[in-house]
Amino acid sequence: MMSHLLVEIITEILSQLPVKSLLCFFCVSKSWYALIKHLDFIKLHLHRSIETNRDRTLILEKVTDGLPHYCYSVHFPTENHFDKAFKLYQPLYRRGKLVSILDCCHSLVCIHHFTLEIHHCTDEIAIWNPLIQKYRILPPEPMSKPSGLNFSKYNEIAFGYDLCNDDYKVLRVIAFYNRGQPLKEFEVKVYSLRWHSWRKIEEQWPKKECTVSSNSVSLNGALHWSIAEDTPYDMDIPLRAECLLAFDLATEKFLVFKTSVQREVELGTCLEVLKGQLCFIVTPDLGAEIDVWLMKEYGEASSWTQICKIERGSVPWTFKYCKPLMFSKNEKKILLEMRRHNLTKLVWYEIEKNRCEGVEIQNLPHWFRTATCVGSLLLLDGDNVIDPDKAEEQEEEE
Amino acid sequence: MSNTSENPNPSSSSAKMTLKTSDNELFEVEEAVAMKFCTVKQYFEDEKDSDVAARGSTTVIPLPNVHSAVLTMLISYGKKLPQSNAVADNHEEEETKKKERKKYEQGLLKNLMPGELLDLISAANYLDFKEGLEFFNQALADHIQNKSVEYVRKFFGIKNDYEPHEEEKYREEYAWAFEGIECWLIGELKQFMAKTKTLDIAGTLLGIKPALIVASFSVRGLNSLDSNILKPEMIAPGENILAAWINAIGPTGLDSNT
Repeated sequence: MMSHLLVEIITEILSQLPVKSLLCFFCVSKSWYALIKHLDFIKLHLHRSIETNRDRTLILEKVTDGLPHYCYSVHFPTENHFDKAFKLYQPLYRRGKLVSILDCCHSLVCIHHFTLEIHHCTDEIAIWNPLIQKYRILPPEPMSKPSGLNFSKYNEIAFGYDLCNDDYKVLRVIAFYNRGQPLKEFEVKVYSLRWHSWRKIEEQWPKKECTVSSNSVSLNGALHWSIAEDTPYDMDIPLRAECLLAFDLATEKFLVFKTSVQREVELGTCLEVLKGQLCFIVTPDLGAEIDVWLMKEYGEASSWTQICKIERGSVPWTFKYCKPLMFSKNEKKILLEMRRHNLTKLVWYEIEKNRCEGVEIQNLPHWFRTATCVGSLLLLDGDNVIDPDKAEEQEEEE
Repeated sequence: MSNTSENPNPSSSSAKMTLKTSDNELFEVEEAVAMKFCTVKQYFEDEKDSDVAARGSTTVIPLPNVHSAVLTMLISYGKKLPQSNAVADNHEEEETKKKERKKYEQGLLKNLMPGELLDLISAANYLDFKEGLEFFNQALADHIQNKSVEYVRKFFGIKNDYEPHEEEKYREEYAWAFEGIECWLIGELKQFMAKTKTLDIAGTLLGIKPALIVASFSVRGLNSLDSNILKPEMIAPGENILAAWINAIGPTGLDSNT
């Protein structure tokens, strides 16, 4: 029996382990601890996780009465096997407060505690690694309200990965305006996880009046939104969304690129990343089909291809909102989250056969929003997520 | 015992190479398979004359770090991989071959002792056999995934250099990660020891530092028959011994036997 395996081989073997095992193996010896904790190893491990979809987990945000409460995690190592849903305490959990998931990027989730008061922006944002239960709260960053404008609101917050600088960033755009008037001034700031600090960006939110008509996604080192350029308001002409707005996290510049697909803004548009390509799904009202479009070549407007038409008739329940989560390995099926008031279902939809198959998961909440992430040891030096119920139990025991 | 490889396709190149293992066994291997061992490939590329067919079967390539049992397994795994000189298969044939390979891999792993995995990995690394290394690394990762820390230490021969209180503190902090880990049992330890061990005479080794220390409980000297002989004639390690025993019962039948 060999007792001296080369360090390179041990590194290789360890990089193929799920996060839970690695946390245990910290205890094996001090040299293993140093090996696993090293940033280069963590990056190698994350890279493997992304390639092989290891430790792939669904993070579900339970929704009650329209307001998000707490999270569940569902680990699913293979497409056909979904583990039981586990209740997950997220770091900003405070009784009675509302926390929601902004976005998931690789293995990190950005969560946001928001208040319903529009005039007063005292939000807390945190970046969280749910698989190792560590997090970091972003330092509070004041906004500089220009004189003459009395109201402010969050125009946009987005979370993404900067490829060039190997950093995770949060973008915050606040709009200032006077009551009854259009949004006037914008303040754009970016937080960097690596430097744990905010910076103001000189680049302006595009001056052209535009309405954001989708959630944000991070791809190729940039954040993306689907936007509609504001046209003079006319009841008869529905607002059409034609463009994609992108913010390059490295160059910190906004770019607009056209899509060749036009659709009405009132319809729910959901932007996602599937197999490394931008995808959007347009959910019109009851009765119509749902179109799924994929941008085959990044940046090339003509490369938008319709890959799927989901017929409502093929789905045995009504739903309002539909979000794609991922392709199956053979790319013949898409995992969809279908949501309506008080009910969410996860479904595998077969593209060619137009058939759907519900996914059975134990302990699932009725109504939730979904995000997917993989496993990594990022944020190992962050704060521990304390489970408030367990903390109370311990206090009682003492 | 020499292993002659079968040639299923007589029309393809049947150049063979001879590999010699650490225990002086000779293996005749098809060129396509042997070339997957990059170390072997390098051996030929280093030579100016690249006419393998002529030289292949006559040159014997020494592999002093690889035992015959290990090489047998690596060669049979190599044969199951898609051959670089094979005719391109259509999609269906490719799928069938993939399934066959998966089945073979599962069978291979079932019969493998975990300790043998380590030998396979070392050998695959020495031979620079990329596909084999990847496969066995993954197999080993899967094997240790849910094992306890103690098992992993014993398996890799790693000494625990933590203070007990340090380890305790860590285990408390991450208690949730330790749930569901298999406990290391004596049975498992016995299971992964290789079935046979051979002793090699290393000869006289000079200049080893630091000098080996005799344990406090060992006998040191004065031969009982002839008191002129001050030092013991033979000395052997007295701790963490792998001893041979029959079946699962140690010499005194106690679990505390090492």
